Amino acid sequence: MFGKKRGMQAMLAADRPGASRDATPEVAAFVALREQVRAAEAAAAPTPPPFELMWTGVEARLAANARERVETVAKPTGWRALLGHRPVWVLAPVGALVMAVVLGYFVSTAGSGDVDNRCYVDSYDAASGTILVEQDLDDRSGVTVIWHLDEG
Amino acid sequence: MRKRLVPVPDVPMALAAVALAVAVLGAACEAGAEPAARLEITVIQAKSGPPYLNPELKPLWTTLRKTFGDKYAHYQKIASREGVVENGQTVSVPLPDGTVFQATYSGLTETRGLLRVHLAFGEFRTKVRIHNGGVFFQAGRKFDGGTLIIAVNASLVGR
Repeated sequence: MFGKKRGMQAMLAADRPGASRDATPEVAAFVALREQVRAAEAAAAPTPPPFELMWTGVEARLAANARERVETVAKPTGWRALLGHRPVWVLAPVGALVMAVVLGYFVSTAGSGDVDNRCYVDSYDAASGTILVEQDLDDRSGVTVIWHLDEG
Repeated sequence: MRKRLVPVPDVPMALAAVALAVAVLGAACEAGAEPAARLEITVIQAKSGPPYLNPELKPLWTTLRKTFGDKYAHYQKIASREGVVENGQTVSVPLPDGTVFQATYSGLTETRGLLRVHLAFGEFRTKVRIHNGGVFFQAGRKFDGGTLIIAVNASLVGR
């Protein structure tokens, strides 16, 4: 339709500000084409992302993260979990009680282990049967048995 | 005529001296008195057969096992009695067969402080001396397919 050089000049003229459709037909054609292209670009331009909505979500997420972090730090583990929020020194009475029980056990059993069961038989008598004294006086914990066996 | 001044005795001090004397005499009498004893009698029926130990005999199990070994396997508690007695007093245990087992506390020996205990069980009599807290057995009488073992424990009260 146009020569190459003439077409280029028409394009430049149409791109200059103030170019109007009333110019030469080539320029007018390019002006019309530019307007069509700009209209198409404007129509095809994507809508901006909903930044406000996004920031609202981000703020909500940040607040939730902060809450979770606080809960994680405050949540006790191990012995603290067993104790709840009570300080460790509440274990002192419990420890004292345990020690008292242990000491009491050892004190109460220490005596029983030292019991001297040796028995000295001074006399025995029975109208019938057999009397037998079974003992080991070298064994302090050994228990003496005084048998009285019936006849027959 | 001149009067001689006689010192008046201090009444509170005199009373205190009397109280002290009474306390000392009381303590001396207390020291001379023979302590009471606790006698515990446990009557056990022992026999062979399936192993069994009456739960109430658990404290005696080690002693029974050590003393009688494998001779018996079944230990049933028949009766028990305990009492705190003074010198000359008796603790008695009636048995299901109508007999009575008697243990009498007869005081302490002078030298070593052993407890004198006299037993009477039917026609059987015996006198023994045992250490404080010690235990001994009298055994041999037949009863209900088994043998009676009578554990006697004697200990001084308050020591």
